[in-house]
Formats: sequence, C-alpha cells, structure tokens
Amino acid sequence: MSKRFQDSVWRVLTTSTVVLSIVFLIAPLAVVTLLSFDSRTFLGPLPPPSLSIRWYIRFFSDEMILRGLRTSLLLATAVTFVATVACVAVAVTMMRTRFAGKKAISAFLLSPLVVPPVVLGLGILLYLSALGIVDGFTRLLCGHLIIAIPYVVRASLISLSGVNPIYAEAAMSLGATERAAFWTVTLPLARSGIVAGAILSFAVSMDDVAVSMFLTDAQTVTLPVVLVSAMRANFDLTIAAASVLFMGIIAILMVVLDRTVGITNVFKNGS
Amino acid sequence: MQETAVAVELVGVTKKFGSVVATNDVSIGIKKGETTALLGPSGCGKTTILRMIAGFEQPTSGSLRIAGQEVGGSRPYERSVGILFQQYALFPHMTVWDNIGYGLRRRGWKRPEIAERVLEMLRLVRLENMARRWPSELSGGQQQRVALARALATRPSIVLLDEPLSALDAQLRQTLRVELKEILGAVSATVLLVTHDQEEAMTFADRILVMQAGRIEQEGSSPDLYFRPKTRFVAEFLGKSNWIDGVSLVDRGPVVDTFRSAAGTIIKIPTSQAMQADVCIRPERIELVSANAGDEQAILLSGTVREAVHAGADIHVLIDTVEGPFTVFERSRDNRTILPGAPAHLLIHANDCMLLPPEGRQ
Repeated sequence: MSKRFQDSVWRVLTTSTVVLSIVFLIAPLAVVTLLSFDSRTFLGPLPPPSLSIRWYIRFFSDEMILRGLRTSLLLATAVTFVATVACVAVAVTMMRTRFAGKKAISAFLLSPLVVPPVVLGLGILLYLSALGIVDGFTRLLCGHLIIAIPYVVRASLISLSGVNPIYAEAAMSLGATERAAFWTVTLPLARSGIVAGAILSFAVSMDDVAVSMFLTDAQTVTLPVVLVSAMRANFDLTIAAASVLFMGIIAILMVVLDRTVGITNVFKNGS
Repeated sequence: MQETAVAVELVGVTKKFGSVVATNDVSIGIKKGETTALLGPSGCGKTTILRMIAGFEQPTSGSLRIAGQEVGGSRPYERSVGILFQQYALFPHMTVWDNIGYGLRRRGWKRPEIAERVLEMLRLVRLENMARRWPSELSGGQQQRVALARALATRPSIVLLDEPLSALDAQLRQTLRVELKEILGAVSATVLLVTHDQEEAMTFADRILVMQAGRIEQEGSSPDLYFRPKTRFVAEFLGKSNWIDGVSLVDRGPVVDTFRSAAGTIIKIPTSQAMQADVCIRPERIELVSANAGDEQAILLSGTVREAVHAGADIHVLIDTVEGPFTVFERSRDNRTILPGAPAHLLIHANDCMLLPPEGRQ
C-alpha cells in the first residue's frame, strides 16, 4: 500500500513538472501572439482592449522591414548552403584521414560555444576591417558563418560518423567507387542529421541580433536588427507580428520537410 | 587471363598491423565451385584474410590472385567478390529490389538487363513478392536471403560468408543453413565461409582450414580433422576431447608400443614413432563398463561420476579420474540413470587413442 502511495506521489510530481515546464515555455509565445493582434499604437497592459491586424499590415508595408526580410532570407540561405557544404566536407575529412591533433580538433569542434555573441561581433568587425572587407553583406555572411558552423559541423560529424562503415564497404564490394559509395549510401543515411544541422543554421542566421548589429551597414540590415531598432525607437509591436509569422512559417516548414525529406521515416529505417 | 580451376589463391600472404602480425605466410587455394571454411578462434587472422580477399585490407607481402589475376593493391570495386556480411548490411534506404540491383547499377549494366537479373535473383531466394519492401520490414531470414541475392547478382568469382549463422538460435540456424546451401549450390558458387563456430564449419563446408595465431594449422575434410587432428589445438577446437597428458614410451614392441602416463596409466597402442605424446580420446568412443572387463589392447580407467546431464540423444557424463576430468557421451536410454557420486569404469580401445605431439599446457 505504501509503495503504491509512493508511486502515485511520484506520478503526480512528474506530471505537474512536465505541465509546468510546458506552460513556462508556451506562455511567452501566447503573450507575443496576443500582443501582435493588439489594436493600440503603444505597448499597454494585458489583455489588449481590442484586436486588429494593424501590425501585420505594417509588417508587409514598411519599406525597411521588407528590405530587412529580403536581406535576412538571402543571407540565411547563403549561410545554410555554405555552412552545410563546408561542414559535410570537414566531417568527411575528419572521418577518413588520420593526422596529428585530430582528436584535439574534433574535441574543439564538438565543444560547447562559450564566446558571447557581442564579443564575437566586435571581434569579427575589427578583424574584417583589418582585412579590408567593408561590404555589409559579405561581413554578415562571414559573421553568421562563424556562429552557424559549430552547429552544422556538430550535426554533420555526429550523423556521418553514426553511419556504420559496413554500408560503404558493402557498396564498394558491389562495385561502387569510394565516391559513389559516399553519395549513394553514406550521405543518404546521414541525411536526417545533416538536414537538421542545415535547418538549425538557417534559424541561427535568421535569428541573430547581437553579432549582426556590428556588421550591418546603411544598405544591408537584417530583419531582426530592423525590428529591434524599431521597437526600441517607438515601442513598435511589428516585432510581435513578425514573431508570430515566423512561428507559423517554421511550423509549416517542419511539416513540409517531414513530408518531402521524410525526417521521421529516415529515423525509422535508421542507420 | 586464362580460364582456371582455381578461384582464389593466396601465396605466402603476410599482413602486419604495425608490429602485430595478423596473418603469417598463409597459402590457400580455393577451387571453383568448392565450399571452404576458414575456422579459428577470434583474433586468429581469419577476418583479416576475408578483408584482404575483399580488398578492404592490402597484404603486407605475398601474392593474392582472384580468377587467375593478381589483385594485390587493387580496390574492392576492381575485384569480383561478393560478401554476405554478418549483419547483412542491407541499405536501409533502398527497397529489396534496389538493394539487389545496386551492384548491377554500379557495374554499369543496362536497365532491362538489371530488371531481368534482379527478378532472377528474387526467384532464386524465393522473395518475388517482397521486391517493394524495405529491409526493415523483413524477418532476419528474409534479410539474409536478400543480402545473399545482392552478393550473388553480379556473378562474383567468390562469395565470402562472414559467420552467417552464428548469431542465430539453433532451430533457425538449421533451416537457414539448408536454405543457404541450396541457394549457393543452385548457382554453383565458390564459397569461403569464415567462422569461429566449428559446427557451422563442419556442417557447411567441403573442406575446412583451421587457423590459429595467423597460420593455417591444418586443412582437411570434417572427418579428417575430427578423427585425425595433427595438433592438440585442432583436436580441442573441433568437438569435445579428453586427454591423458604427458605419456612417455616405456617399451617399443614389434606390434605394440607401451606408454605410461605421469599418473601411472598404462597405454598399449599399435607401434608409432612417438617418444612423448598427449593422448586424445573422443567422448563418444569411450564405453562405460562394469569393473572387470579387461582387454589387452585397451585402457581401463576408474573414477567417480561428478555430473550426468541428459541432453536428448546423449547423456553427457563428467567423470573424475586419475587423469583428470573425462567427458563421456552415453546413448540415452529410458531405463538408464547415472547418478553423481557413483563409481564409473571407462573402457577405451587402443584404436580410439590419438597420439598427438605434446604442447605447452594452457
């Protein structure tokens, strides 16, 4: 009886912890969603007296914001592409070759990121200026690559080294060259992890403020920087509308990815 | 390149990993259509030989020929070797059809020929209706057949089987062994089976090569190795064995030699060349008799039953004797009981004693 009692106490405790955690994580998103439909022109107390879609209209009519959105999408796409290709190449090299200091490099690549983004941003700015790179987009690309690569390299290393080498050996015994074995067997089997890394790098680039603040120039400003400055200048709630839009886009993106690339399917058939 | 009866030939192949010698001057010839087993404990170098034939490792020295062609230094995809991996290694992201067709696509076959060949292989392994399935949707036995079909599709000069049955339970094992032999026989494949499992080797292969510490210890048919082992290692590795250790010659007669063991057992056997030997006796060749059955050409050992285990057709009796513990296989009969602690008398005929050169004991 008392053992059963202990069990039920534990069950209640775990359930309430889970529920509280979810509420803790969801609540801010709910508040943001609510605020994005606020009809007031200033940041007032909750709940808003009436609702409107004025901030959404604002989002799609403001010249600065649209330019920022275009810059951000372009930048994030470029970052994702470059980072993914580079990191897969690095991961393959790390797996194939033996060289002095490989373990150290591997540990470095896989270690948690400890440099604060603000420090990173200033550092990159000074470094790129010293190199004579002053173009805003190039600077942002370099900066975002530096913050995105750790995520992607980790995902690539873990997913590629998680593929049992026996598959590549089987492919080669069946007549595949090493290159063919990589493209037709190893890479498809590591796909889900690499795609996850790519999505993460896209998100990191879309989301970054701290590093980008240092690297933008008058013509090239990313969306988060535009939104943060707008918000600080005049309590603009477009940022809330943008957040909600992004959440929606990401949710749709995940569904589409799952349907097309088949993330869960790949996991099921698994490496 | 001429047509030859030898599918694979290793001559003096040595492989070193740093200072570790994995195989030491190994020479093996495998005839076309023959099934050979490479049998040895883990770490004996058998896997290294498999990997060298497949092209995943290169010999440090020596010559390796497949279908009469020297392949030392060539890459796996430049050889004609099929492998049935122990874990099957079916590509999980391809259907059964695409798995079997993979090798054909990589070898540059034309589409209609690929379709025809894949269908032929599916029929061979009796999985015609599984073509569109994913490997994860198949049972272990079906996966193995797909893996075999994939390995055989490109008509390799030799098929390497890496411990194909040892991970399975006894029931499934026998079914799959019969199936595997039928399929391989149907295409008259040349097969090299690599295993640590003596039963797998003895029931599968025409010829067995016993390997130890990087060398071929002995080769022969299953009865050859079982009844005429050349070394203690082979005798112990294949089947169960009993030993009278360290016997030495006391009298060499014209017909019969007399030996005596350290414990005093007298052994009379037909004249041999040996001075010192270890005597090996198979458990099923020993008779349990009543005390007074004397015989000129036989050994009589007495002891106490330590344990008697009923194992179906046989009773495995463990008996403590002056020469150490002996295992005896007795036919099991319904009215027969052997109880621990009972006295036992072991009758061993001279013909059943195998004299082997003495070795350092483990």
